[in-house]
Amino acid sequence: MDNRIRREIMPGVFLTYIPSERFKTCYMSISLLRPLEKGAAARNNLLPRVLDRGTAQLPDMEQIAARLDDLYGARLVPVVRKKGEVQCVGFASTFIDDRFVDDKELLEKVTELIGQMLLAPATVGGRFINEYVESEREKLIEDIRSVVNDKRRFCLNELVKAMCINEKFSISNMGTEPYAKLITGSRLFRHYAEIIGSSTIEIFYCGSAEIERVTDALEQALAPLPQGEKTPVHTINRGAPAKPKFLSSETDGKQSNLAIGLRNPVSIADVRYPAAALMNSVFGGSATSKLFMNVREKLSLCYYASSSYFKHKGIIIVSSGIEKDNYDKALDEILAQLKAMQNGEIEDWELESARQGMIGSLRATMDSPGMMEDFYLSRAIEGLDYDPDYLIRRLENVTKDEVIEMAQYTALDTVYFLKGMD
Amino acid sequence: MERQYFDRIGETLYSERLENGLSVFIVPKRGFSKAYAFFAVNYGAADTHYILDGQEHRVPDGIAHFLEHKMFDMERGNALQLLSELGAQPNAFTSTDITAYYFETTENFDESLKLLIEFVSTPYFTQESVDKEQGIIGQEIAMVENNPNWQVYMDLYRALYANHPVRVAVAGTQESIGEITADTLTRCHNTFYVPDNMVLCVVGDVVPENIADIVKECVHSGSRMSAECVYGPDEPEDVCERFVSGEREISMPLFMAGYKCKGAPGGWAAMKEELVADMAFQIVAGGSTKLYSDMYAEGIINDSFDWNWETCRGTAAMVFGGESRDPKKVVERVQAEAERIAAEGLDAELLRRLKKAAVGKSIRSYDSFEAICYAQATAYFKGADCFRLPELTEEITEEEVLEFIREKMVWDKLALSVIYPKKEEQDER
Repeated sequence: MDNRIRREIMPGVFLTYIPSERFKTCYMSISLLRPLEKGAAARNNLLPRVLDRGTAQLPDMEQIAARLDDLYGARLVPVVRKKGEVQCVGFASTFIDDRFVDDKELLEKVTELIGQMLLAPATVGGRFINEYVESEREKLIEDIRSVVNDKRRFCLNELVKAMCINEKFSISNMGTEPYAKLITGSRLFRHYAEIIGSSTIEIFYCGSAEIERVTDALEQALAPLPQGEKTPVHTINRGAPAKPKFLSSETDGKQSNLAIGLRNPVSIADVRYPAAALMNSVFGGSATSKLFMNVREKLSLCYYASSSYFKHKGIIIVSSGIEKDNYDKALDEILAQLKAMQNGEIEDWELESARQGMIGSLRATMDSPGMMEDFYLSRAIEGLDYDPDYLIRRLENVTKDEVIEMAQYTALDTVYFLKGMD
Repeated sequence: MERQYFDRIGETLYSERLENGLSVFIVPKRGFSKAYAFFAVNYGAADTHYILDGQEHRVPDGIAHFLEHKMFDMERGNALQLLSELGAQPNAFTSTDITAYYFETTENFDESLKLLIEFVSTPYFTQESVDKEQGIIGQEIAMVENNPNWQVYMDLYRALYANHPVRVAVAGTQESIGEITADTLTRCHNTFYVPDNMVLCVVGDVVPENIADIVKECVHSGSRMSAECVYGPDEPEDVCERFVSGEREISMPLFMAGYKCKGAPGGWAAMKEELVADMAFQIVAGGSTKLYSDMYAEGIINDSFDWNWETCRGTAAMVFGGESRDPKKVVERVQAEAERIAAEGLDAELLRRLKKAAVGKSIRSYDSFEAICYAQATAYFKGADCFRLPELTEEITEEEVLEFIREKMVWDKLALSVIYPKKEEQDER
């Protein structure tokens, strides 16, 4: 297994370093950790998009693209992720490993570009270039509006908004249109100035360079980073209400979508996390899960039926595409599958198939720098420090009783039905 | 077994053509937990009309895809489930010209490989399971037809092609799949799923000789591919319709435009053409051009803007599109720039940089097991291999790129498909 090292290279700036010669590319990402807040979400989402438009040295997209082309097609993209009630704001980059090309300083050049993008953006009169802010803002608004195009995603979002109405988790990673509309070049720059020195930063590198070469490159690139006290981030979990809510709305799509929100007090920070994750996999997390085998295969009630475990928040959401008239049948069957698990009706093969599937996924994680990065970022946010191998060992030891117990902890919170035209 | 080392990308290819005609390609990847197996047939949605032993056969639209769904049924159980129990993540897809069954796994690779070969080689269909599948595929068709991205693409293809079956949806329609029986599925399997019409690719930390032994144990001696597919009356050179549009509940117009082209017949010429086509579009309107930044800044394109060289059974098209407030303007601007370059020549420095980026991109692709398998299978069916992309890219000349732009990016050969947002009722008042 790769010999990972985690090091604080500057106050509040952490590097997770994974040496590897297995890939043709190197991976580097940088994320500022911010609390998910109504007012700030859209600004946080917009910020890297605006930074991506130009640096002081390369003040427009064309010049940045030319530089990346010259670095053998290096890729550098803004990335904003929501993990529980934490927004991770930054960039990710992949670039060809030095050993395949003539340029032996690709690492240094890419790191320098990332540093400039973050710390030396293109500005005019002490704020971001209005044209960049306005055009990125319009695109963000379009992205917010376009959620409606994907009925499945739209249904899921409406569920979360309703279910977590008084919790930060209901805030979309993109913020809302009204807040986005308020963003101007100077407001965004003020926000940027506020957060750049007050955020814990997580950096990830996977590639064949020695750690000292990586830390040297980063220390140089991030030298201008302002120091300051770092804003803490966390996620708050809640239990299910005494009475579940049932909501619906209409859409012009032919198919209907059903989203069911369930609460489980066990999140990734909990020592019982492996059992909860395995329970979700048995329930609806794979092609051999109860939802897939019964609601989809046996009853042909839908083309897809699956469940996702939002592990930072302790929420499981079932997502299903159904015909309007099958609402009651599908809802009943889905809840019946959960009840069956709570009653201990889990076949050995169901458990083992789910276990092997999860273990396989974790092994595959170690084969992908991008997946490893996301794995380690999720852990870092919760103050956890273990590798996929550790989680595999834990999963190997989860018992059926523990899975049943996790199912028993799982309670219905809210149902959202998006009715189609059929 | 042949062994070839590709120095430029640091990969080794092991290949063997078995007695029964099946070709096997193995790329060892040391130190990885996962391994990938990809078993493909040179048969797709467009192959609905064929001649076998002097007789003409027509099968319903959507049958290749239907067949793909049903292949997982075996007498002793469902292969999807059995593979999952072995810890593999199986999947399959059908396109207009290829059907592929594959899995990724971190354990029990040999067992899973045997099962893959077994279930794909063995036709087992009952009328009951065919009837049930109609429900599931019917749902899939409804879900796909719900998708505006699919709609804009299909509309473009119908605008480009008058006759060629590439204009038909891969899954067919609710009506066409209703005509499929266990018998037609069996006949298609017997006709197309023959070893010399198939290919197996394996990528992972495997021992090539072991893999070859396993495959030889499992495969039966097979018949040779003898059916000949035909693709309708000759397709005219001109597009069928210049402009088509529709409406959906979306937030911004979606568009897809395509230049109808004559593609290279196959082999290395086709591999090269694909690289030249991509380079040509990039030099006209790719992310590194002034045209792109202007359109992006004006807000008429966004990050969804993309392009692809699409070929299928004798058809070829340069397709591009995405979300846009003003699709017609985007198309006009792209065309104007293509014409300007055709007349004035291209930016040699830009081409140099784009080639560097393309070399990087091609080297990158060898990190993806799935990409290697898919690229090798499709290259093999064309009569080439996928391991020389960096060199082929470096060989691209200014003349080749200009020739493509002049001959293929031509206004008269362009069709445009747009899906507009549904108008709100309020607008009528």
